[in-house]
Amino acid sequence: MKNSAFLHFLTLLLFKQKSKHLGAILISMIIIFLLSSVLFISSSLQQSLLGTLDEQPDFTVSRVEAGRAVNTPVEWIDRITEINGVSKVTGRIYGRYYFAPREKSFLIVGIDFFDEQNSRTLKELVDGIDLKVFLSTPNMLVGEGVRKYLNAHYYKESFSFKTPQGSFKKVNIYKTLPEQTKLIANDMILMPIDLAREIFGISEDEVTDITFNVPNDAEWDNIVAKLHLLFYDVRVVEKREVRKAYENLYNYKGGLFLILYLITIVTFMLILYQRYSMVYSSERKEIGILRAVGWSIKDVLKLKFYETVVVVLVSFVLGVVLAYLYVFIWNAPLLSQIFLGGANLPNKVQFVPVIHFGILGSIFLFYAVPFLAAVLIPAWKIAVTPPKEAML
Amino acid sequence: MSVITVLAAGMLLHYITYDGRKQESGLSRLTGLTGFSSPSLSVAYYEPRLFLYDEKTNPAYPQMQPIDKMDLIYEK
Amino acid sequence: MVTLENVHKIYNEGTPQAFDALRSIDLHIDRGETVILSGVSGSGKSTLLSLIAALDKPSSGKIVVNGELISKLPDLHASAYRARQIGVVFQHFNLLEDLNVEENVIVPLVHAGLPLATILQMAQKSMRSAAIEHKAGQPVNRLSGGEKQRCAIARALVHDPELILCDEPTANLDRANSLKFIAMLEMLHGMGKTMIVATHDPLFEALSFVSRVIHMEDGEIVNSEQQ
Repeated sequence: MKNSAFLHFLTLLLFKQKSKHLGAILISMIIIFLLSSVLFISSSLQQSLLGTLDEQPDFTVSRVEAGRAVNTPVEWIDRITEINGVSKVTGRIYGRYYFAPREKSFLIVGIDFFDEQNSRTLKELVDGIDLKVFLSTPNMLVGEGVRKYLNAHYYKESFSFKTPQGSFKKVNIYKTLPEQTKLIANDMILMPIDLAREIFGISEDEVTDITFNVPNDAEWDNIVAKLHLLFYDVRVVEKREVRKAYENLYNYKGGLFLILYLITIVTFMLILYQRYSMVYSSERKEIGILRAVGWSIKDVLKLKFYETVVVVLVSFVLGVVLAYLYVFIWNAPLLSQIFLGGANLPNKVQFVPVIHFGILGSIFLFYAVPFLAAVLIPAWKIAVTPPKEAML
Repeated sequence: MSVITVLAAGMLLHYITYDGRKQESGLSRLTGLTGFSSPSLSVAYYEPRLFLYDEKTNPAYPQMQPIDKMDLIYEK
Repeated sequence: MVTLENVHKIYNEGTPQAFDALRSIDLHIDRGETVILSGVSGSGKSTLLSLIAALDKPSSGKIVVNGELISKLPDLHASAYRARQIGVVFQHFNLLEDLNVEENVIVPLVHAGLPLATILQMAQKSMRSAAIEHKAGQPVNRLSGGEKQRCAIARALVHDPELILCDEPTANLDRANSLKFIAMLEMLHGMGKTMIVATHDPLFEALSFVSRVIHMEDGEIVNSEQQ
């Protein structure tokens, strides 16, 4: 192959001058690694959350008093059921149980386990659960974070909740929710609906809120209007608002990282440009020698271009691969805390691999093009200088 | 270069063969059971407000917090 | 083979720092001749060689090498001319320090469009001519001055050029290595090469294979002695 001499020479130069390129590769790799890690974490979390939205009810309705959500009357369920086009109208019992001494909260969700659908779903969710045993005594299913927390505070078998009446309700820890649900259920406690009512002091004629589905999404606006006509003190949360919130999730933190990345990459390119432009650099002499022995400007630029492309590709691929390993194999220790935070109970989530190739491609372009320019422009300037001057 | 190619190929292979269905189905079942798809508080997505910047509230529900703050889910 | 007609070279033309490096140079060198350009530093010897090597362009005048007008060549053609027709040996060797001897020698042929195997063969032959093949794998930064010079010669010869230009080739060599270099020049002369050597080394005076010594002063040819 005619070009094999060029490839041979290119490879030679790259290996023999690896110390020259090592610095640039390392710095680029770190920048790409950080940015890709951030991208992977936020994409993975967003995808996981968006994926669960299908199972969520289309509407959540609650009563408000002076702008704050309060318990919702059960009779609203019947009135909502009468609206044309709604289905699966259900009242929910849940709330945050605040453990004051340690300032942590648990999300307690009451489930009607006598409902066939619910009991079937529970059996699929938690392996080896015996509903009869579970429902025979006050039992609860806890999220991983809750279990660890209770264990650490010596609540190994059970926990006593303080009810609004002042009494204590002891509930046994039956099982832990599966690890793959940690993203949502880390601080969650599932218990029978009556037990939850008792702990929150919610009477039989109230529920926390009401959920329902409207299969025809063209009707959604109508339904919202009807609800407001039916109840003056209603608050409606639509699934599409939640979807938008999830889509925006982490955009703020992601945006901050993007700005940091842009600043870093501009600084890096300026440094590179300066380095390659240095009057007395070995780079200048090397180009002068090549020109003197018969290389044209085009030949020199071709060499520099391919040299830089190799450096760019190597650092980009290494950066992305390392980021992938860091996020999806090692679960991003340290960096995940910036996204997941340490609020409430500590959480370690297993990230599901998600790669947005389009965004990776954009990152590559935003990185490769300035890099190439920072190297080729000074190289061209030197190449057009008379070789005699360049070799001095 | 061969090491890099192997690493990249390994990464793609892992990505293609990774079965995320277990986590997906776990989360979906939980959401189906509880009606909740919102991330746990320990995921701490509560974005701090920028100085002097505030999102417009949803005009249909002026008393409601802006949707991207997620207070609407966690208010209780 | 090489003809210069009324060649002038002015550096920093049009500025207060302008100065005449070469003035009214008329010169003809036949094929197979070995010509010495002698003169003190600043006499214009190196400038003249640079113009013949198309490393720079004259301010006015014509330079013809092998029937080709090289004084106004665009870059692509000037590079091709340097790659095919001439070999240059520089005063400071100008080798790529990160590479070894063989790798330096093949540099002029990288864009020649030849298969790699052929290029390596040509490099071997050239290194043999320059008596440096035993150091083929040695990094250039570990060679002595004489060895570096032989490497530079091998690089200059690898593409079998007709015209060889040497700019102060013995300036950085000791006497023994200078004599070895002169012996190599004699061998090249025997091979029919045309050579122009710019030097102020007295060792080059009265060499039997040298056809002419051209004395230069202040950018002009002041004397031309037939040997």
